[in-house]
Amino acid sequence: MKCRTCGQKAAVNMRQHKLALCKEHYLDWIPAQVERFIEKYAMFTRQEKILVAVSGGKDSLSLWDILSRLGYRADGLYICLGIDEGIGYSSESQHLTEAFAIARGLKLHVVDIQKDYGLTVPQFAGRTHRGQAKPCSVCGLIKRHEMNRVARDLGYDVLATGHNLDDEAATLFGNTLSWSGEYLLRQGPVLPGTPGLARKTKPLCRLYEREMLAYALLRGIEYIYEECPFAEGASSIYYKELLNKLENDRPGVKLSFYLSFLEARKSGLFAGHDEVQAELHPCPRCGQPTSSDGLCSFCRMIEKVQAEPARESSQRE
Amino acid sequence: MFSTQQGILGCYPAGIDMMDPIGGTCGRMQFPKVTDMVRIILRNKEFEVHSGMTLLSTLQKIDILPESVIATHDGVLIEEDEILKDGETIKLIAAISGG
Repeated sequence: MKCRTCGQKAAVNMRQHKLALCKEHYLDWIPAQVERFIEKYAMFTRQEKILVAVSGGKDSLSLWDILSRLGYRADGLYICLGIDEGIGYSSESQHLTEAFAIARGLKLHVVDIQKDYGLTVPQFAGRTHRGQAKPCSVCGLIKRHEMNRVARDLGYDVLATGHNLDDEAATLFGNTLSWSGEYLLRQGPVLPGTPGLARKTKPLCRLYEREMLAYALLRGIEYIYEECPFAEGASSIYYKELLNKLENDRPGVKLSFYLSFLEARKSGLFAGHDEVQAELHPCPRCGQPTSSDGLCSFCRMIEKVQAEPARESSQRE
Repeated sequence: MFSTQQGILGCYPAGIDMMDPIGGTCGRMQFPKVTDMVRIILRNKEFEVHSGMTLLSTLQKIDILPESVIATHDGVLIEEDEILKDGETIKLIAAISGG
């Protein structure tokens, strides 16, 4: 297989694009694509301050690498969740993220959930109804809250996350199976900012997970290869596997699933935003917008945990 | 070191050249050093297949979707049309992550 640009041996073949490229041209092609998507979806400009949520995984570190290469003002945010599970998952992720930032001279903010709120994510999950089955829901809640808090507190214009096309297609698949109208209305490359909520963007949303893996490997980015110990059996991974089976037989189907969804929504297939968007109020405790009458979900969880003594038999502590 | 079974974390690409078991076990079956065979490694699984096939055919034979992995040989990415040769060890890196 030959590189379409130079004719040398190809390093990566993308069947969905009928495009094969060598290492050098692949490493040029990916940032060019990301730049194109940033502009197409009006994600941000070079004048804006961007906060990249980095987990130590291949996608978020690659995103940070790409934005830096493209000349965007992108700083990183690492949220230490305190997930150990015998393999030091969070500490290893943090170490890789910090090493990445230092090697490239990039600015990294680190938030430690246990230091700031007294408990790790698994401990929070063990003490809340929301986290009884798995900590993933609590983890998501905490990450969303903290990303927004740091962006607001430190004056960032926009948040960027490393969600790739496979993440987006799997989420879309799950939301379609349950016809979750509100989620379907909100999913997209950009979630506009509102008073109290920073704009959220996904510059990798049209790039396949395999493409991002190839980018990380070819760029020599050291990332955490292990899955989060709590991700085993997650629906999103199952949906990704199902979608990959489809993709194997019909190259391009994941991309067209996502893009045709965006087009369908744009042309009014779903209800207009005004019809379903809940009215938001500032949380009296943290000030972030919430659809609840009182405290937001995050602050309710914090208050509940602080009010209750630790249960001795909690499974995750 | 790279081992999911032993709970030791691995990272790439530093881990690529660091795991290279020659000889060992695949499930309960013992196998010797191989000739005319190719060894395929994906996380904590190992497969042995005949050489001379393309990577694509090999992945199909062991029921791994090409879309879900990147294949490397001696730390270099290889693509579907690559013909796998005797004694090679191909390391597959899983693409899927998240939860």
